[in-house]
Amino acid sequence: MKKRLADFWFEPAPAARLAILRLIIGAFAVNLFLGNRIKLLAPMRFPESMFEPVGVIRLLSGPMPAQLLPPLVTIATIFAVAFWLGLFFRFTGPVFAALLWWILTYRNSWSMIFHYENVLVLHVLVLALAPSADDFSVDALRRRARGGNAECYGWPIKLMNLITVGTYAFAGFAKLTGPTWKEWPTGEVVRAWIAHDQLRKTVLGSHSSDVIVAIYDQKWMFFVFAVGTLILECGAPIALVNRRISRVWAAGAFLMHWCIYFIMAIIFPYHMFGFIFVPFFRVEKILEWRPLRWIVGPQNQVSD
Amino acid sequence: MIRTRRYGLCVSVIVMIAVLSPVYMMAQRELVDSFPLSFYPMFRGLRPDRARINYVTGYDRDGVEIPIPLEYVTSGSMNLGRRQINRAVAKGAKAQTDLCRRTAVRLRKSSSPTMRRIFEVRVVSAEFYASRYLRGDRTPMSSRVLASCRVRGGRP
Repeated sequence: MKKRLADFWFEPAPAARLAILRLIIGAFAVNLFLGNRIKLLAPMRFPESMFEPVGVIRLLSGPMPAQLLPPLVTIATIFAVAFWLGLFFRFTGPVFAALLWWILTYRNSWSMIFHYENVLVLHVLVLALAPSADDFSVDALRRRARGGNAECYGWPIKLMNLITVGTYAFAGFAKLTGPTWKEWPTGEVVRAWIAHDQLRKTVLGSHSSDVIVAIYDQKWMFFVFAVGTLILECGAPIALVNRRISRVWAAGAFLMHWCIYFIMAIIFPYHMFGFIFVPFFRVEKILEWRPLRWIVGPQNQVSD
Repeated sequence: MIRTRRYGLCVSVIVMIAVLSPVYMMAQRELVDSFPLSFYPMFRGLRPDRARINYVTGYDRDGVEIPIPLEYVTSGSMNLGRRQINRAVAKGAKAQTDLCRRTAVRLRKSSSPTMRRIFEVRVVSAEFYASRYLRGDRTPMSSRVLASCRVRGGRP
């Protein structure tokens, strides 16, 4: 049993798979810093009374001096690019993971936690602690050596997938362990929840979706939505069993986020654009795509 | 070292324990959410149909209501804005008037023709039924104007 578990966890994988995951997830992180600088600096404008530290920010006794945030975000942006390029990765990888953790936790310490950023932080952390720059990186170019097929490239991907399914499972179990667990599968809780959210958004003058207005009296839709959500979330760990199931599950979860967007106008960028699900796929297969084959050269083709 | 099985096992076990740590959070008497590890407390409760909402709204010279987008009222996301309004309402008359005036100043600078029609800003506390509201009945069950102020330059 122990051996089977070890064989499963340390199943060899190509270095290119982990490296391409670093490139894909790293690109999301780089974009987060380059495209959302204003949002990341938003805490500078918030009144101090709104500061409610969470996670690692609880180490602080009060908000950081406002003038510290812009240079910190700039440094994190530089490290994000280094992470993406795989430049001095043994140093830049962990430093970037720590900066991302700190900056996002700090932003989440002002009245609201953006849960959609949880998995990004943890995925980057795993990539940073793993040899994910052994291929398709500046470090690999400098060393003139590329990683092959080894067990050290497999476990980080399994760990990333475990994190993903773990967060979904927790979201599902939260619904079934709260005081409304009996009503959840009927769809009434989710219906009331969405209605309340829509009311608040409309009255307050925030961005909202009109889809809920059209479907509010179609109770069967909320029943389907609630049951589907519970199956996807509580059943998420099954996605770890085999690759085919994981792809079906990923497709279902992907669809769920787009449904949430259309009904509630809530955007989960990391989920809606599929970044969270890429570790479930053999991403190195994209190298077989003809235009990429021409760019990376035939010697860079990867065999599993 | 980073490529050894022992290292992989150590990192995996530590991360797995961390990922499972929300179980511990759930077992606490006082439920406190965290980041990036969460037990998603928002999914555990029921949102009531009847809700009191504090908000800021506008009126033109004819007394026709013009909803004010949240970015004119507060900074940050919807939840942050909501909390800033709630906090001002809880603090009392002076904070409510300040919120009203700040919004009026922002409206005065607006280039939007709709926003420039706003003549008066009101901070309102009202109760709604979400179900009725979604079916088109947008009249609050009860409402109270907490503060009001004029937008100078508001056009008739």
